[in-house]
Amino acid sequence: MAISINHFSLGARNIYESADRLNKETGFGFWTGEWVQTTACHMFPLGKDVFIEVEGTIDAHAYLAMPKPNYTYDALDVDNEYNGDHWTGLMLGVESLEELEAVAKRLGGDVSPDDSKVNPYSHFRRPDGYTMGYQSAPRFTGPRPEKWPRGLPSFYYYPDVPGRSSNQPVIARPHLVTATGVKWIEFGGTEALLSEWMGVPKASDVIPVKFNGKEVGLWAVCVGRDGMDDVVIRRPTAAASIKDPSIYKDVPRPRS
Amino acid sequence: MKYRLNHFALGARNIYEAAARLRKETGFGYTTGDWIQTTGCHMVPLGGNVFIEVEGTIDAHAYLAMPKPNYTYDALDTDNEYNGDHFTGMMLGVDTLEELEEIGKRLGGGVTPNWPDPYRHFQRPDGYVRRFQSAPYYEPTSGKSRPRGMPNFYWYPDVPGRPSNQPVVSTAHLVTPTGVKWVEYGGTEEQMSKWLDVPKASDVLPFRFNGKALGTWAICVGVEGGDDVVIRRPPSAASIPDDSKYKANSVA
Repeated sequence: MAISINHFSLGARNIYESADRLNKETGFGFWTGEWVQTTACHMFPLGKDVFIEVEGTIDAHAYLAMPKPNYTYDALDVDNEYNGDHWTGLMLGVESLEELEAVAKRLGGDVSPDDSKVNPYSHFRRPDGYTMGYQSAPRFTGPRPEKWPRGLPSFYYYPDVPGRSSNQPVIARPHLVTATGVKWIEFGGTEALLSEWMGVPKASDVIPVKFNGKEVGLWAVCVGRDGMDDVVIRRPTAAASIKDPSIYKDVPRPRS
Repeated sequence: MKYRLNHFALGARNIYEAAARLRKETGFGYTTGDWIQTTGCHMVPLGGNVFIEVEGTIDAHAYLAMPKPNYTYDALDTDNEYNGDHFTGMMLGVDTLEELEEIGKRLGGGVTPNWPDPYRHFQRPDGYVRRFQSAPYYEPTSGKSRPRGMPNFYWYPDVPGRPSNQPVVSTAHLVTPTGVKWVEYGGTEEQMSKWLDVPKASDVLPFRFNGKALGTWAICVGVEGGDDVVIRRPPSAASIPDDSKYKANSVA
């Protein structure tokens, strides 16, 4: 099974402000308009089919009607030097539905259905009318097994690689630089934990990951730049700002 | 002084959903990515340098920290057949800063400063900062405010840069709008004429008045090769029968 890095979620209070700031920090371009239900994303291609989704709630009315407490909202509510930005997810990719099903089975969950044709509202959509059909795993329909803390990566199968968010043209603006791919990521927890989750002997032999032993989740992404030094995008991981995760229900994310 | 329709604000709980729904309703395309502070807009060009901004709060954290009650939020919180959409503003245009200053003075205020801080202006993901000025502007300490539901006035020096004149995102089944044919507005012709300081407002702009709550109720837009389309939503004031508990209008 070939496991790769698929994308990263960077949670933001205000995706417009956050994406503009990330552009100034890195020189990377982004594009706008993608959304699913009450969440929208500005997308940053990083090269080699990988991207960051700067994601946030864009419907205050819907947010107020949601059950509370809300894990992601509360993490983003913790101030930091990045206007509350936190890494909210690392998503890995596999290359076939069969591989995804094997991952789900191994981890005791199942695979999210591909209902993009009949229920586009539950999938990411773009203003050009494109509906992103993909599937992810593991989906736990019951309680999340205690063995697996929040912050571990989910697995995705994107059948349409050219349609992937990494492969769309960014909006032209001055001083853009070209991202040439992820060099390494810094992740919380231990190599043993992530290796077991991925079902591999050593996670860092499969993806370029370094471990810092802190809360489980993404802490930094190092990206190459064409003709320039690499850039490290560093934000706290959501779990670092949640003191008592036991008060949160494990509400499935809308898109998984 | 020559007045023009400049743009309409269509408030939405979720601008992504509202803009996609408006496109299904009309066939009109839109642009994404315009924002100012905690508000985002999807822009719908209507032809003739006029546009609709589908506007909404895109920062729930900021909303929760704002003073309450919030007039626009409360209007949008009223359910209707459009997922809460309400027309939240009609903005008229003039062609020079001098005209804008004259309006500001006539209405007992002034003109918004051309603030140097880009964060106080609409920005786009291409880095463009849209500089414009509006009137009447009342200093926050003046105790004055624009009557709710009456249009404010704008001067956009960069006409090619106006949201009406940006390419929409390409998609299937788009139609081309050819300009606003008429606007259905609340209140009376006398009210609007007095506000515009003209003998008869409907001789100046294509208004029809319905005598209901002040604000935009409908916009009729021409369609190239097709029938006109009428975009009908209630104005905010229709859902806020008692606005006495709300603070004055914003000034920009």
